Amino acid sequence: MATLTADLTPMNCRQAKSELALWVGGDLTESSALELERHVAVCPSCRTLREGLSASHTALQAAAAAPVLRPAHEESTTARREANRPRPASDSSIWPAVSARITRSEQSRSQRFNGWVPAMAVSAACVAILFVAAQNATQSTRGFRSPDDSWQQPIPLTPAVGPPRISSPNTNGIDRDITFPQAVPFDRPDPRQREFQNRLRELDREFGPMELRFRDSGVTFERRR
Amino acid sequence: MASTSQQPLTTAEDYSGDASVHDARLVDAARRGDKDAFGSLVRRYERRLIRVLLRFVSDYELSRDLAQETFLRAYERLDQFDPSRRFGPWLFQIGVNLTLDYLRRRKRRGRWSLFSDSPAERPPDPEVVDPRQQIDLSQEVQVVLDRVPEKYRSVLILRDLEGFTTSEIAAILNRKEATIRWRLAEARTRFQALWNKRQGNGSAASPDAENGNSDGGSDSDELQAGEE
Repeated sequence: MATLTADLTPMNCRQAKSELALWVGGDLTESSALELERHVAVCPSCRTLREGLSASHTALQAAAAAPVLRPAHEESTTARREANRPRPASDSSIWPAVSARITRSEQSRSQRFNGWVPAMAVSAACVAILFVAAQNATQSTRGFRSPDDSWQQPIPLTPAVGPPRISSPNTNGIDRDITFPQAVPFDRPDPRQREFQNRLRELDREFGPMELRFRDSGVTFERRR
Repeated sequence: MASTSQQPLTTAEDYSGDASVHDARLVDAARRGDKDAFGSLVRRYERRLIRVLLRFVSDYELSRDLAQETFLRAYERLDQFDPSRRFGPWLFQIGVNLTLDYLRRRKRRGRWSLFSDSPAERPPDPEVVDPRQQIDLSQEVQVVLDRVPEKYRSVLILRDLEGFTTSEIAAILNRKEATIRWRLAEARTRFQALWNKRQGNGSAASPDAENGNSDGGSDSDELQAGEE
């Protein structure tokens, strides 16, 4: 009787309840099932539960075997919706529809990509233009405002016209011409003319009389002869 | 012994060893851009997938739409598929997740429709048999299933209605098998309590199972599963 009392402790019934639910669907190992059988043999409440679980599981099995039906409460809404669209043959494959959707999805993705290409190209071109403009502005500024001897460094011409030119022999100590980044045609007024003049005055003070020479490659400062 | 013996859990055409190898080859070809190979996978799995999803949504057209969406997503995510795994559970994982998300959205919308003028869209009280309709057994099972919280209902559908193994369900629902076994036991207990009540046989109902209407359910199953 001591064994019987131990088997009927609430803890064991709780465990038996969980195992009964597995056993009813054949999801319990054989050894666990034997142990459960021993408990159920002496536990009336677990026997009742087993009957209830068997009944409901049989209903589930019957539903599993039957074709799937809509619950009654969805009939009305489903019927309303189906009235507006034809029902395809139930056994037709969904692959044609899936294939069409894959194709559409890939096309729209490539269109999205193609749409980005011109926009990206235009943006890149704008960035490139701004970068070049900024570079030119920096070089021009350096050319005009260099404090000491930086004006003596050769400044590459754009477009390149060859190595820096050595000044003519009569420059008397000024051994390099200064050329500006861009050859500025002076046949029309140029906003930089004033800065040229200012720079010329600075050079005059430092090295004696200087003059601007207009050459094919650009503007040069040379000692006045 | 058990009232039903262990049924064949998967059909030969879906999950036999040869099919798995064949699946792997088709997936490989599809990943390299062979759309026809993916078409073969669709034709192989569509009937089973539609049937499983139909258990969740009870609407044939909707289950076909959801199956289409499932295959589309699977195609788009083929590069994420681990070739060491089987294609079937991976596909069903996408399909079941998609369907559960759809049902959650519909439920949220349904809360608002309670205040609308369309009482026909409300589910009936499961404890009262609708006298206007001669509902057959399957429909009654479905009505009771709809009252079981989602995380238990999913396991019950996949195991008892669709015959997946607990390890397959663990892969589909991305949970440990011990968790699935605990949820299965809980799901059967809750279903039994609601079922017996609906059949007018409340005496066999377990008192614990009557709180099965709260969809949130208890999160203690992970803990309890760990104790197994």
